[in-house]
Amino acid sequence: MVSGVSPRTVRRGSSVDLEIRGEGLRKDLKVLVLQGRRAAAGIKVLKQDFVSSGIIRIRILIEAETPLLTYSIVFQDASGVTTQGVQIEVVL
Amino acid sequence: MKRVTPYLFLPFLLLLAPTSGHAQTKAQDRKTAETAQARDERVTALQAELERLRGEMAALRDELQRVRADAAKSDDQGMAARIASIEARQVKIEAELARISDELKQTGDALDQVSEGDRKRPTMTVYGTLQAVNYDQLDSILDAEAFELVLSGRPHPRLSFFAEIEFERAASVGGPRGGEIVLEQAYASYSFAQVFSMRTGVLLVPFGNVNVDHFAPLRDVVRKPLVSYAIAPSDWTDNGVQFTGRRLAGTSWLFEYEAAVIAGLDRHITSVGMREARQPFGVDNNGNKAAVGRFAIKRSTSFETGISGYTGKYDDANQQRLNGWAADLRAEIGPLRLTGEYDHFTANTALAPKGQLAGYYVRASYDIRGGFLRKLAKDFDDPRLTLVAQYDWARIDGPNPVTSRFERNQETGITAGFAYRPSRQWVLKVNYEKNQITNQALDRGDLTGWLASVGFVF
Repeated sequence: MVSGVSPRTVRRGSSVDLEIRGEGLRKDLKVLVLQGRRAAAGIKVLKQDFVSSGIIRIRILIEAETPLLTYSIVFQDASGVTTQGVQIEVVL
Repeated sequence: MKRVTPYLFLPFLLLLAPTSGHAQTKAQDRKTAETAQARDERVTALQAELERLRGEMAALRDELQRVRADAAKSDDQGMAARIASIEARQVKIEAELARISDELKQTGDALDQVSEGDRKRPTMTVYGTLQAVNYDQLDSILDAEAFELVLSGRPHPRLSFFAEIEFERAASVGGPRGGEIVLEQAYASYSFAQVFSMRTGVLLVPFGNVNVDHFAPLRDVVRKPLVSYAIAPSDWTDNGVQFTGRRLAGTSWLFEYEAAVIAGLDRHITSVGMREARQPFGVDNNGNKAAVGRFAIKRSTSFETGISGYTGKYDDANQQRLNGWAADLRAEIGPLRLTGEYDHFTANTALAPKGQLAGYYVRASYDIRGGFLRKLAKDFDDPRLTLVAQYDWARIDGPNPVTSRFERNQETGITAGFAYRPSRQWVLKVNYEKNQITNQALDRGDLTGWLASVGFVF
């Protein structure tokens, strides 16, 4: 279960480190950034570090062409089941 | 002067025009996201129900198999009835499974449609500033300097657009109270690959870090640096074609370029700067197009350095060239942030001495978080108070704009103050400025006084 993300706003045209908090997080979970139900074009996950069952850190690249919107970050397990999302906002 | 027919840009402007049917506010975004989330929750619930029924079905099949085996060994009439009952239950569960699968498919399809609709819809952001200026030598003024609409969208993974419309002091555009509306940026972008995208339309000229990141509420001081006013004429926008790309080195370093072909600056380069040399849109005083670009190296949000270059003929006779370069830096060391930019331009001339324009700014910002700020900024997650100091310098050797006599003008400025941000969306800035000039003023002259502003980004 995912409960929060920090920071919640990210700028276009830069890479940024995010800390995602939750419960029962595992190393094998794959992080996805979604716009609606589809993978967000223009946001790329560069790195994923499992810190503990309560924290996973990721680094994402937000291309300069990425629209100013709210996006969801979810985790997906090997069988394709995804967690509920936490939201980040791409800003000016 | 050659005029480009404005009709060429009409379809583009129509594409960017905010309409009630398409433009979407953040509130609508949230509502749509909430609807999608409610549907997501329904999908999750249906999946759980489906799993439960499948489990029940498997148990039922096992039970049926056992009962049939028992029935084969005896001629008990009760056993036959029990089998019939279990088979009836099996039929019922299978029907329920089919219904839930169907509902799951329909809900999933609906979510996909919402998602697809969202992807194609432009979104709107607004930002603006109100300034209060009290220089010792002048009457104080309140100035609702700017209100800006920002539209962005990515209707296709490789196609996107971005537009920024500024209402500057637009109390009554076209009327006696002044004001203007400016299309600061409006371009469509086609991403061929990560290392190569093409932007066409009205572009922010990629020269220096102030011009490429010109959003006033994000700046730690009230006014833009002197060098970005008198030398690189920010907000410096132009018509043109721009090529951009980026390449990652590992997961930390990012190399990025922006290169553009634009109409360029015209002959109005004088001893007070280049602001008047920005040409109207759709106009070029000569056939030559200017080339301008910036190459940047970034490490996350903590470090960015860039070099920029500009070359283009600026006179009506298409003979004399304006060349320029800039170097800029932004670095964070813990709570300390250092920012600066140096610009230099040379305007070649046939007879008179060459025009020389140079300037720089250096700024130190120190962020304070937590403590009393948490009490002051109730209900905000990450309030921040930034203490800031800036030094400005600019010097221009060129022809006087009235007499054409060659002269040197120089201006310096010192700014100190703070910026209070309860969140990234709102800022109160207070600055004290002391400016000095040698000969003519380039921007603020020798004014000294207080400035304050409130900025917002929503």
